[in-house]
Amino acid sequence: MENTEYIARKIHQCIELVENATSDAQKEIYEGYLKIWQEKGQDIPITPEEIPEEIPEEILEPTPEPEESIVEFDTESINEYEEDTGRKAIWKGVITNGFKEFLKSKL
Amino acid sequence: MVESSECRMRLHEFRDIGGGILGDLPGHIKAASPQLLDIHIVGKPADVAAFSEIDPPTSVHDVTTAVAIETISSSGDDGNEAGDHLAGISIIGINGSDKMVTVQNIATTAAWSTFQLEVELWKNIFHSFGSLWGTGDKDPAGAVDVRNIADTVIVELVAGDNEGNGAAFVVPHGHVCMLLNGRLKRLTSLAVDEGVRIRILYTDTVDALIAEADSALNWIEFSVGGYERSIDIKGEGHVFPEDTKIVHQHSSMTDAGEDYDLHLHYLIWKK
Repeated sequence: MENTEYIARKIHQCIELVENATSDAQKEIYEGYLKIWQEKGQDIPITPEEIPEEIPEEILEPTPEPEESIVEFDTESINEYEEDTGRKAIWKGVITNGFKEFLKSKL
Repeated sequence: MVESSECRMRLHEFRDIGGGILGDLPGHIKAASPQLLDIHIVGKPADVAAFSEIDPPTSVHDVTTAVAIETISSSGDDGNEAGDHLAGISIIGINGSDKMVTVQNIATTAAWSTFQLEVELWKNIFHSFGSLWGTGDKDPAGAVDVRNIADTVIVELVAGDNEGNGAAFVVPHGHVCMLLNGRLKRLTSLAVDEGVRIRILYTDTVDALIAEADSALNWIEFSVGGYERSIDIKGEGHVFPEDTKIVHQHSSMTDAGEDYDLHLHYLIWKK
């Protein structure tokens, strides 16, 4: 199974578990699993055709911040972040949460 | 020699316990319909006088709320198709009702190499073993894992072996556990200066308040060495309260690992 498809299936399964959790404590554990797979999904480019239809697209990509809260950045900071962390600074045209935190730490 | 150990764990319900094994236990224990946890270990400590855990699980699944788990094989030849090898894996652990249970998980696809979400929810998992096979072979074609949703393996069967790892367990909440009896036997030739030591480490909720490094200070120890061939282990009424974690360790008596055979029976009943 391709890595992207595998992670998409994992995320899909976690969403179902969260939705069908029978207690808040159980939901919290499943949300923890979901977060793990969402973070793994951020490290690889998942093209739209690889995403199963039933998975809400917003689950697979970070929610865009409101325009006014996005800080200025340049190629140098993108390179610095990606070299330091091995993660993408911009993915599918959206600034990743990790890169946002990195930029905030530079302020 | 290299340390090794293989644990066979089975949980027997009261109706399946052989007549007479409960002996002259108090009537109120028999009336509680106790379960029997049967642990049979064949092992060999390392060539040093130092204790190490016997056949530990790959990782500890210990959560306060029961959650779903997955099963998966590294081989597509395990599954429910004609000609497949392993078709079912049984798990011993504590379910969402705080009961120690054995549950068989049956492959639902022809190729078990795709992860399979299981129905039973678990607070703890101690051991697994192969329990259903196809016509291909009567053991797993690949490594069959029981793991959590984050892909952390808890216990596993290696290819060709129907008995998984895991010799430790936890007394379910609301239950009591008692060491009923057992036997420790040396399998190598007798030598006066060698032998095997076994410890049953137990950490109850009081011990758990102490730092982990200190909480292992509570144990029951027995050994067989010198000219002894075997010893009978008597429970002597030692009772472990609910939520007690029980781990088994072994050590060479001096500095040469010997093969041994250890059989332990624990009774578990609801308070």
